[in-house]
Parts: sequence; C-alpha cells; structure tokens
Amino acid sequence: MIGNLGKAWRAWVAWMDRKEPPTALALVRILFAGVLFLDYLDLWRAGAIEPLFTQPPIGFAIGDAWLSAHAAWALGTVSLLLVMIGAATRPACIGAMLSLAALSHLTPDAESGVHMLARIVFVILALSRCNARWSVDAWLWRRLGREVPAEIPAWPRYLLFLQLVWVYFSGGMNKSAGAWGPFGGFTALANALSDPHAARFSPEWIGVIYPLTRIATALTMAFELGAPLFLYAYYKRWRVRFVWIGLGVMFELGIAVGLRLGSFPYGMLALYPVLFYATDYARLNARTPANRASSPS
Amino acid sequence: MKRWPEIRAGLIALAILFGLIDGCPLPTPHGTPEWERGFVEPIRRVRDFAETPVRWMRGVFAVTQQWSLYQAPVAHRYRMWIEGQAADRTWHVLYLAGDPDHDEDAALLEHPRVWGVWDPTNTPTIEYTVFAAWETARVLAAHPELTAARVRMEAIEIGQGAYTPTGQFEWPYLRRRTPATGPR
Repeated sequence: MIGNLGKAWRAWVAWMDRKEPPTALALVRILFAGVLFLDYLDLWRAGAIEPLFTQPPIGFAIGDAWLSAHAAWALGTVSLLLVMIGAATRPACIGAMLSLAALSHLTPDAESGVHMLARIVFVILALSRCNARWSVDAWLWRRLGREVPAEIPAWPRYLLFLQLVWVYFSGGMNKSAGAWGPFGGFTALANALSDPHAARFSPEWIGVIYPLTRIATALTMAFELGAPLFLYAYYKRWRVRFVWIGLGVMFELGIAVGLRLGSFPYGMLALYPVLFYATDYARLNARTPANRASSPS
Repeated sequence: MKRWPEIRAGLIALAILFGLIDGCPLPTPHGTPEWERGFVEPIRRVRDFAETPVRWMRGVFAVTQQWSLYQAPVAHRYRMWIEGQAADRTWHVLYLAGDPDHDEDAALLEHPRVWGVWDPTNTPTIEYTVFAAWETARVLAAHPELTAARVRMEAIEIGQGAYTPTGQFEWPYLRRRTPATGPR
C-alpha cells in the first residue's frame, strides 16, 4: 500500500516536472487577455464604467472595493494590454486579476463566468512562463543576451486544462432546471434564445428550428456532463477527443451568435489552446506551406 | 533547490484538492429540498470545515469552483418596462425589452455587462432596487416633461419560439418628480 502510494507520488512529481514548448500558453495569454482587453474597452465605449461601478446617486454599484471604478478600469486596461503583448507579464497578470476582483466587489452581477474564471487564469499565467514566446519580455531577454527557454514547465497548462474541463462539468451538474433534461423536453436553449432580455434576435425564427434547438440542448448537456470522458480520451490520446472540442466550439459560437453574452463565449474559446497536446501544435506547424516546402519528403 | 519539484507538485495537488472540495455540487441552503437536508447539510458542514484555510480567497478575490453557466432558462420569465408619466397622467413606454419601437437608452441597458444587473431569475438581482432608482432618476433628468418614471417587470411565458405576456407586473419601482429631480 505505502509502496504504491510512493510510486504514485513519484509519478505525480515527475508529471508536474514535465516541460513542453510554450505555444499553448502563449496563445492563451494573447487570446484571453485580448478578449478581456476588448471587453474593458467596450465598457468605456458604451459609457458604462461610471453607472455600473459607482455608488448611488452617480451609478448603481452596491459594494465597496479597494479601487474606485475608474482606477480599477484603468489598471485592468493597462494590465490586460501588457499581458496581451507579453510585457512585464507577471505583474501585469496580477494587476488584471486585482482589477477584475475590484469590479466584481463593486457590482457582482455585472460580470459573467468568464470574469471570475479570468481571476483564476491570470494567477496561473503569472506563475507560468507564458511569456517565453511571442512576447516583448522574450524579445527583451534576447536583446539582453539572456536565454529564452524553448521549453517551459507544462503544469500551468495542465491546471488551465483541468480548470476549463471542470467549468463545463460543474456547469452541467448545476443545470438543475428541468428544461435542460428530457422531462422538460430539452427546451432550455429555445427558451434562452426567445428570452427578450438575453436574445440577440426576435424569437420568431426559433419556431422554425425548434426541433434543432432541442437536439442542441441535449448535445450541450452531453458535452458538459461528458467532460470526464474527454479527460480519459485525452489521456488515451484517442482522436475522439476532437469531437468534444468540436462540440464545445459549436456551443460557444452558437451562444455568441444567439445571445447577448458579451465576452463570455470568446473568452472560453480563448482558453481552448490548452486542450491540445504540444505534439498537436508540432504536427500543425509541420503542415504549414513553408515547412512542407522545406520538408525532404 | 533539490526538493523544489516535490514541493511544487505538493502545492499543485493541494490547489486541485481545495478546488474540488469547493466545487462539490451542493444545492444552496435555501434551495435544498426537505428530503435531501438529512445528508446534504452534514456534507456542507464537512466541506465548509475543510475549506477553512482557503476560505478568505473566496471573499477577497471573488472566486469559487461552483460554476453556474446559464443554469435556469425556464419558460416563466420577465420583460422589463421603463415608462414615464406625462402631465395628463398617461404613461408612455420608453423602453420595453425586445421591442425595437421602444428602445430608449437600449445601448446602455442592453450592454452585456449591464443587463445582468437588472435581469431577474425568480427573484430580482441584489442590485435591482439601486438600478431602478438610478434609471428612474435618469429618465426624469432626460425628460423634463415627465412627472414620474417607473421600472417594472412583466411576467411572460416562453414556448416554442414565442413569448406570451401575462399582464402581471412585479417589482415596480416608481419615482415622482420632486424639486430635487429637476424642473418640471
């Protein structure tokens, strides 16, 4: 028993000590921070910063935070831009996280799941070497003659991977409304797409595709509750894992088109690069026209 | 540091463990059916005790591992009305959710970060009253001709690609013009 535990512990330590090229984490850094940077800019464009995050009578914030509305927004905008371009990446990640937390304290319902997820993602990115590729930091290190690692610790990607899979699985488990299941007729997506508060379009078109929305609701539940199966398929390197990823992409794009959810679906998709093996990126890179032309075969 | 990989692996394992404990899918204390209370409440007490070392993170950084992504798109929903009352005491619709003919201030009200503040589930949001106070003051400031403004939610029934208004209104918030809200 103790021998087995020791063996498992050594395997765990070795697994967490693995290294891989920084492609996936660099992509997540750029895409995820980019989505939230646009989200912050959109708050300013819509003139929503003051009403949303200032207390009455100027706005309708109900909470207190260690930063005022404009200070939190400015800190977040600058930090997200820095994370996106990979400049002073670690402190910028912490700055982005603190800004998101301050805005959440001021007006809790003014954020979606992706903002809460971001507070976790940026801490993991701050602990990673996501700036080892496509970043100002890496460019600067090269100019200063410092070594830029070709491989970085893989555990932050594993953690982000687990986090993303858990978000979907937990979301599936918490969908207690009957409309998500067979007893409610799988009507949840049709209801959401017909809701005048959330829907992007008038609901007439839903009647035409009503059976399809029920299939989509069932597929959404299969996708979310099937997340542990994806973990197993990933571990086994089965190609069927791409079916789960494809379902996720379709689900996020579907709600991006049909519902006014802002940055949520794009932020979730921005994390998808962690769902691929480093070898997937190597294979993809080998298929680019430039690399195919230089290939001896 | 020779032992760093082991320390790091231990810290990662702890982070995952606390995440899983926090994410344990339990119904809220108010939403727990009577027949489940006998086993849900002891589990909740164990979870809360196990989370003691990291509970401060939830408050400070506003994070949890219990994810509720669009969990209740039910058929019984609401539709927000914002109206102003003219001097002849007739009410005029300024904003009606989903109605392109009454879309005053829609760019702000329907912004993805704003509508979550006023969109109810089966109860109003915690910001709803403060929002309604702010919105009615904004309406009166923008329309000197109005004597009052109100925000209310009409119950609707959604089904097969359409919604049916019920004519029942909930959580009305009314603001009458006073000297403080500007000239009449």
